[in-house]
Amino acid sequence: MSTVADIDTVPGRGPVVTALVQVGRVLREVARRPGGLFGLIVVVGLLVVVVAAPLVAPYSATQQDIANRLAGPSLHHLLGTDELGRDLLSRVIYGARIAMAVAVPAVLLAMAAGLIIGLIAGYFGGGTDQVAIVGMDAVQAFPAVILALALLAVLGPSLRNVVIVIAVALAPGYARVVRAMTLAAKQNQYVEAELSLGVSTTRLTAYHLLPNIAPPLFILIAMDMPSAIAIEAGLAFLGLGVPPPSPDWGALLADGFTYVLISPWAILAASLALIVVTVGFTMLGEALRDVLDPKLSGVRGVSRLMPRAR
Amino acid sequence: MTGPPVSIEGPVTVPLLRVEDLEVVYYTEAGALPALSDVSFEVGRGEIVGVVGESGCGKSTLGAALLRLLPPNGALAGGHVFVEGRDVAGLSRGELRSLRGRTVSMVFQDPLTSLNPTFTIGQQMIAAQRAHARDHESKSELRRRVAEALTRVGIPDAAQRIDSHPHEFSGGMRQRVMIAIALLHEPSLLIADEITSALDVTLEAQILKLLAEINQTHGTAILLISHNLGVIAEVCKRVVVMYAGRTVEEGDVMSIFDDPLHPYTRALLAAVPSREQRGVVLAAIPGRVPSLLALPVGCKFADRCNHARDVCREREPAFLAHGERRIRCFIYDDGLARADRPVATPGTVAP
Amino acid sequence: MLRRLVMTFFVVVLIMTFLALLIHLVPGDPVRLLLGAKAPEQLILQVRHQMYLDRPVPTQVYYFFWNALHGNLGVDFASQRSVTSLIWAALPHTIILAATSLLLAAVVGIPLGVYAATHPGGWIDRVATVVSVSLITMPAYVVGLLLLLVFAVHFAVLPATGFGNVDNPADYLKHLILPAIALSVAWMGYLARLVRTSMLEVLNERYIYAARAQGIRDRAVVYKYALRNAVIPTIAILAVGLGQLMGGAIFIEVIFARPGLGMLIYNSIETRNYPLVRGGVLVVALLFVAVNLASDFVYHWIDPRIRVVS
Repeated sequence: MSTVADIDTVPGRGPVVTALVQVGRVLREVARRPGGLFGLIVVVGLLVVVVAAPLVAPYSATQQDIANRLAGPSLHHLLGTDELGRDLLSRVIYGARIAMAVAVPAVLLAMAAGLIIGLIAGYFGGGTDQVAIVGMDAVQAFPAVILALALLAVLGPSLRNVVIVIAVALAPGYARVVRAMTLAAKQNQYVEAELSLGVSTTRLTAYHLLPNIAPPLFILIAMDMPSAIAIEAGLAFLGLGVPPPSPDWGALLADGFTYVLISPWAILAASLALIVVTVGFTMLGEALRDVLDPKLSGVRGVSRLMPRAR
Repeated sequence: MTGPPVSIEGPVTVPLLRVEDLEVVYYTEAGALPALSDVSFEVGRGEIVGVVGESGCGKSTLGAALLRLLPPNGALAGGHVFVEGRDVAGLSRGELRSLRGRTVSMVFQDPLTSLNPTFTIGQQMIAAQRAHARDHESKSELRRRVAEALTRVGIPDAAQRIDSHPHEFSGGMRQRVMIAIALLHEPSLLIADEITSALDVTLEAQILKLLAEINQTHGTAILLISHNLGVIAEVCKRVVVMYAGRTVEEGDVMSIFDDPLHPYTRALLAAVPSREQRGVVLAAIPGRVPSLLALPVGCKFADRCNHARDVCREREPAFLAHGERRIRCFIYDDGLARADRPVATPGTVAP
Repeated sequence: MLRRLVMTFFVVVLIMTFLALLIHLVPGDPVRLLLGAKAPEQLILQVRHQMYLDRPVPTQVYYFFWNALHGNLGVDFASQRSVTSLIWAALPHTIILAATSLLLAAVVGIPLGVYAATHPGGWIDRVATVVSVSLITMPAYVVGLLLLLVFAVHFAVLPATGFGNVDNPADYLKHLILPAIALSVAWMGYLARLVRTSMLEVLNERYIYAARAQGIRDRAVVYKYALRNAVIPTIAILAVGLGQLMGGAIFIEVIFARPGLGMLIYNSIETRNYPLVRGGVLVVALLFVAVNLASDFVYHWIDPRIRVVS
């Protein structure tokens, strides 16, 4: 087995490769836990499906089989068909693409915004900090879905707007964690000493703060992915998501809801997808938290796996 | 009031507390830890007995085992605890409950954590009072009795302070409250587990004085658990010395202080600091208490004892009577050929 | 506490300012978008005037505050009824739904958490741990749809829509069962988890050991001494939860066709009825802020340690 030591001898690539080895070590630890293994399998499976949707799906998302409308599972259609005779399995598979196309950028955007706000609030403190806190409190006073709905009501539904709206709702979580860790780092003697030596803030941020902030942020990302996916599908269910005819999980639920008296299969198929994916990401997040830092379970926001408005 | 030391509940020969070859094991991920093993001693009615030893020697486990209050991973693995002649291990849930707090009470080291922070002193005392209430007493009657109990342990304005929360009391006052709770049902035995360790010297003296008074006026027997020989010497008549979960010497306090026999007791006494040095107790004994996970085969003190012979490392000495005392050491084991025994040369024990 | 009040005041001001300005996020002319391209110029002018959109922006904000303080949140376009009266009519049904759900969650979740904490490692504990994570992550609308499918459609034992006859408590209750369960499922899991963790912590405290040594009954020790201390930290989190619950309520009300606040907001978004959207969202946010503030007070009242510190 290669160790950090022999990799370090590769000139010029030390830090990057070391980081990769670290990631590998963390993933191995995660996979040793039953929940973590389940999470990893789900997430990796989801990624494969997203990338290889046309190869995995038996039909296209829109191909209609008029003879078999609202049908139950059969050999031709493993999960049945919807009201237009479209294959539900294929629609669920293509739906994963929409889910990820919204969730990934939304969470990354939320993290970027939270990082900037949290760093500024924590670093400057005082009045700036107070303003930031009032802002975060104000955003979090709205249930995530209500805020997203209100914003979408005026912005109008589109892929871009859905991403923005979810990012706004999730950003305060990141800002709080980053702010708390920045405050803690400022009290660190190391940092105090370097500050007194006149080391630039950028350098300090890059070398001291970011490595410390990274683990909780990774956990938060894993925990927020299911939130983002669930909010996106929820918005779509209400008809305010990514506009049709995207084979979105929420839209699938809405179609199923319309024909609930005739066929349960659309609801069952989309529910299954949503449950497996949200539980998978959460289990991964929990395992990550256990592996990266057991002490973090006390950090507000990081461990707060709580029901969200979805 | 419990009345005179001579009990009407049984023959005088039955001691209040009798511990016989007690063994307690904790089951942990690292393996089974023998926290207590072969512990034997007695406490008579109205007697004050001290238990002394370094931290980690099993003193607190002993207190918990006496009331069957061991954590879920702990178990009585052998031996017996008799309270008033009855084996504690054989008690039903109800009998056990009436043992706790009524026959035998317990006070702990840190009075702040021993009191529930979200209830008033009065609420907690009334709950303790009701735990063994014979009939339904009115609230005002209960309050009056609780206030009385507080006054008895020297808390001024008890009637007013009943509705205060624990954090509103000072450390010494909290310990008095704990003692008042323990005395509510006039127990025959009070187990005091390091009750003065969190207090300063002045408060410690006050609390010890209170214990002596309680013993005098109520005839309550006291088992005083402490790491501090000074504390033991102040109030106890007899003392039990523990090492690595075992009793190693037992006897009259005065004679043990004058003439410690077990090498460990000697080292312990040699290490008792003067008043100014309090807090560094026992730091002077060379070596360390062996880990419960890797106890030596023979005498547990052998590695720190400079009398140790081969026999000390081969098997463990028994806890045997030696005159008025009991000692666990081959030096005093008459069953062993003199040539094989280690010899005590006074003054050669580690200073 | 005073600091807390001041912060809350600023949060409310920020929320209201945001909502007053929200309509300016609409791309183009909100009134034209609202009334459609063919609306007569006369009507457009009238509505614009009604919404104060013909005034300068600061005046609009001022009017919104002034009117809101006097219980006037504007007028619904469609019905020309006051927004406040519409919200007043819908709000009780949502509050009953939310309260019933929280109650259900508490009745199931707290004992489950206590049981798990008093029997750690037992099979109920282990099953509950896995199940609660799944329950927490499950979106409310998925639970709602599945319950609808099973109990209202497949077995047809419970009504699927509406809130029943208000004058007939039994009927009203019957209509409340499925929505309340759907909304509470996540909270059952969450509460169980929360109570288990804090109960385990409390049961390790010295005063629990001391109470046992005093001969107090085990049941009294667990349910009177320990439970109170274990539940205190969950109060603040539950308050946050009530807000999130309001978000979930929107889906549940849509799925079960309950005319509550969530339904009102949803319908007003569909019809681009901005004053109604704004009013509904404002009430949800204010409720959240109020509940949080109240929980802080309760917290202070229950936990005397904090009472003294502040």
